[in-house]
Amino acid sequence: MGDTGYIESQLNYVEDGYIGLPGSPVAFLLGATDALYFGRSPDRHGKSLAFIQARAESAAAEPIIHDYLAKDTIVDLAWSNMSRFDLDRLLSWWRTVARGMAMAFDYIDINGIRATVQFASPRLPEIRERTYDSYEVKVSLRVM
Amino acid sequence: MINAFVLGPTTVQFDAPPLRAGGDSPELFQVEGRDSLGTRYIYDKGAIVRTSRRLSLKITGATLNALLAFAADASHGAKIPFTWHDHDGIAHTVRLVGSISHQQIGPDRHRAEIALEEDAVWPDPGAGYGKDSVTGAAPVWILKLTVGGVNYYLSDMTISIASWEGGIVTKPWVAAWGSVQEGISNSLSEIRVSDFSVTCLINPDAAPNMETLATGYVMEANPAELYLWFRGQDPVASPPVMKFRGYVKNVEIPDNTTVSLVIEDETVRLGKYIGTKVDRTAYPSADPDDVGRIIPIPYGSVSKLPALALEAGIQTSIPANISSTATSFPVSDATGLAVGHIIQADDEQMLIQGVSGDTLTVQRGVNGTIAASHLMGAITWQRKNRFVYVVADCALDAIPKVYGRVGEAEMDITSICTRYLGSPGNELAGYEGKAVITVLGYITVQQAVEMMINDGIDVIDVATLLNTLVISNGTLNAGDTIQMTDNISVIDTISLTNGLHSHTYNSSNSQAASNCPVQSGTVTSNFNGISGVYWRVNFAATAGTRSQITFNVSVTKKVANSLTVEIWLGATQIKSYSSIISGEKMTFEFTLTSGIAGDTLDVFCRDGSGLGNTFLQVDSASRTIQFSGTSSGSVTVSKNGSAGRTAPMINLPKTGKAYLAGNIEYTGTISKNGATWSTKTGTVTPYGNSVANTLVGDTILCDVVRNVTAPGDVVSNILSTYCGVTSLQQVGAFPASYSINGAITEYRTALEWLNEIAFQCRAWFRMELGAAKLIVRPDALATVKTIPACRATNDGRRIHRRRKAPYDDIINKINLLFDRDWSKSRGDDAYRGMSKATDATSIANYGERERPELFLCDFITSQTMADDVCAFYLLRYAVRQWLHEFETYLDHSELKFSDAIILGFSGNTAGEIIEAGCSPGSSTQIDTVKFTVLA
Repeated sequence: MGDTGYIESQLNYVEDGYIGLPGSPVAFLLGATDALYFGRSPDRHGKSLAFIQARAESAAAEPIIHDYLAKDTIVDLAWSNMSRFDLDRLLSWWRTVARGMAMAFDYIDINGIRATVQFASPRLPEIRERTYDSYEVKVSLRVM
Repeated sequence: MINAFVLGPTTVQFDAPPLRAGGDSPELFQVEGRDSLGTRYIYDKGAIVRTSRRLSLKITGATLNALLAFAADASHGAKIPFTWHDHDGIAHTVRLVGSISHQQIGPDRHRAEIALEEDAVWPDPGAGYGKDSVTGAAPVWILKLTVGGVNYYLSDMTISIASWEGGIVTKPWVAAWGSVQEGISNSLSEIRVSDFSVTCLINPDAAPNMETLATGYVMEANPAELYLWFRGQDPVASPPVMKFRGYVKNVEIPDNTTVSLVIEDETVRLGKYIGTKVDRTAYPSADPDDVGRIIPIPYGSVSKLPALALEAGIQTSIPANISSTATSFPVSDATGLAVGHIIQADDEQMLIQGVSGDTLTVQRGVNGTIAASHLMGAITWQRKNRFVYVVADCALDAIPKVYGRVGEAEMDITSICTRYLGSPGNELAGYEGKAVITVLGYITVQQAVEMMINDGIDVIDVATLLNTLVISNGTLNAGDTIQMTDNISVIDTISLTNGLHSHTYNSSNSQAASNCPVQSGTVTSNFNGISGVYWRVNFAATAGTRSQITFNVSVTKKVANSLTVEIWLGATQIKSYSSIISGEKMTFEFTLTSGIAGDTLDVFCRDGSGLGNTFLQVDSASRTIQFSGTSSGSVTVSKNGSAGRTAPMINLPKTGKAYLAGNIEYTGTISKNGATWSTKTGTVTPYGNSVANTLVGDTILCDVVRNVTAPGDVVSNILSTYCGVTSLQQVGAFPASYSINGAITEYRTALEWLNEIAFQCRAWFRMELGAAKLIVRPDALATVKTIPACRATNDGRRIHRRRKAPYDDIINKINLLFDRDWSKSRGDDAYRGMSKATDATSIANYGERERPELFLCDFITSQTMADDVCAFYLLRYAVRQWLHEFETYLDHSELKFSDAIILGFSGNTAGEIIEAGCSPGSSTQIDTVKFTVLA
């Protein structure tokens, strides 16, 4: 049993000053009936802010930049030990409720903050089985 | 079963589960885009969700060999899916992807890396994901090909639509969609045909597949149609919508996996040339000048439309002089001439008795004409009893007038023509469905000609009238004999007066004394048994009718006794005088009016007392004879009897007239000898009749009426008659003054004619998805939709290109010519009306810009319509507009060519879509529509 990713992940919570508790209600919600609560919390999510913005440069590389058209906030979620049960529910949610990128839904992060999001990509970046009933799962969400 | 690959009877059983280093990557076929407002569009492009897996196994050499054999012989690499039973016992249908890598890591230990691909069904979206859904719509494109009578529905995925076109299942053969750019360019004089390309896969396991279809059939024969549908929609309520229709134009098989098709807009099928050309095969005696021309196709009312001579007789020429007696000579071209034909050269007619090559054997001077010599180049034409001119390649409603061209003038010859409208019951045999006129016989026209020759021309410098004037042959026949009447017509009957003509008997001079009736008492004669004195009067046979005879008798009684004197006429006593006293002398008179008709009249007198004539002395007697009527001849009065007197003959004068009638003839010679010389200077104006051109063989013009004059009706007629397009949709209404009055007289494509007619009634014509459209261009745009945003790239650039309309399209001066004179060739001088307009501001900005070649309006005859069309084009093209080219998403895919829209992303500019296209999406590219807007 050399694979210790799960333990390391748990330690990361401590090292990163995680203030919540494992099993905090990270959830995906859509409407009144569709809700996906994860039994195991993800790692602390990462966020990025991207600007849709035209940029041009003169022949001497002096930029002329238009105001941005839109800005995208991307939330990267990563589970290091998602259970098979959660994985199956996530895949089901992804396919049937969110229909991939199509539908917007609410994401409640480990801090209990709700945001309306969509899956940011038609691909779930990675699902890797680390050990029995423990999967590494990465998901990108686009904040609406 | 766990940790095994199974395909039919073949199984590879792994010794241990795979290492957990591998990963899965579930992926949907979804694409996204963004518009210029930042809105994200996410389309669901696939019907499957694909999970890529990578297995890492530690296996024995035997298992490795089994695995490799399995991959090669069972699954045939990636070709055949098989079942993978994972370490949890869950079965997955997978296929190999790429290679199987393996490495020996110990004795009989190998590490193998296997890439797998697992597809699962991706359910259709719900009903709410239609065209207008910004995210989640699942557009799918279907290409319908009809090949060999079978419909094939191709797409990039397998789709079942049960209630459309009888239920279809698409074949997932499309590898790549091209883009459709459909529309008409802004240029007024050009039509751009759009095309669409598609790359299809060759499925070697399918029969047929694209390769066999492409090589085994003519794919160009039937239309190809591109449909857009959204998965999840009710196909009954929201069926697939056709977005493009065309015909396969190019087919290419670049390798053994794909077939590429180029499909061209169906307007290419309107490239058909319309009209029936006159040719000598169908019309052997057509006028050579008309061969190759098309039979006119008129619409509305067309005046003086040239008719074509389909039966005009053969015309050729004489290549060398011929004498008046030559009976065999060559002509330039004897084609069509045959024995029995009558030909004419100059004024002579000839009967063809033989044709050998180009040499004719003829009988000269037939039909009362005189054989004459003819010079080289003399025109020779066949005389016919009937000449046929075709007026229209269709039935007409009326041919009000027919004109013959005489020199530069047209003459009404309607009365000598028979007109056939070409409709059932009014057709000329052999020319069914065509309007024709016939002209019987060969017609020449005398035309009054007045020629002003010269103001000062010496007409005859020396006029020699006659050196010798010979009036007759030397004998002037005034009359050989004066013919008096042969007989003097004397009045045959002398008309005597009807009165009395007294012939006095005078005994002293006409009666012999012995015949004197004076008796001395002795009866000296006995008449009729009665003694007495009597007088006999003998009338000649020619004597006239006597009306009365009066006798005067004087007697003397010789005795004293009473005495009776009786007067007898023949045996009839007619008078009796009594009591005559003796010695008394008595005279009495009596008149006879009857019994005097005979030639001999006997009257006697006697003594009625029986004493006898002794006692009666007749002293004298006279008589007066009165004739009635006209008497003629001689009258002889005689007295027979005792008196014995003969009436004297009397000569009567005869008066009458005589004359002589007859001819007087004078015979002699009259001649005048001498010379007359004269010089005349001045104006000579010959005036009189001269023989002008023959009508037949020359231009015949007809006024025609065909009650198809509304622009929509005309376009519809052209489409249905010549292109097999039976439906036309007119968008908008034409002004009331708009009517088409013109004719198709040139051999051009249907598309050209349709475009020209549409232009002349300020409309667009185009084929759109199997239907023809005639779109009236309004004065003011009525926008139907606002497009708030265009498509933007991922780095925020708007896909919105603006460029000014071509400089050549600026029009700020228009001289629109209309009311075509069809007897003239197309050109500036062939029109009778003009509408003019200019835009001073535009001229100041751009200089004078005119497109005269566009405004020769053959189909306009109304000044009102011409003015309106002129004003419209000046309004639209005097200002140089902008062309906006941009892309949007499918929520605007319903917009079509000519729709007026507002560009919300470009200052709310209103414009007219002049191009509307689309780009079907793919697994990596979102579906878009593309517009070009003139605004």
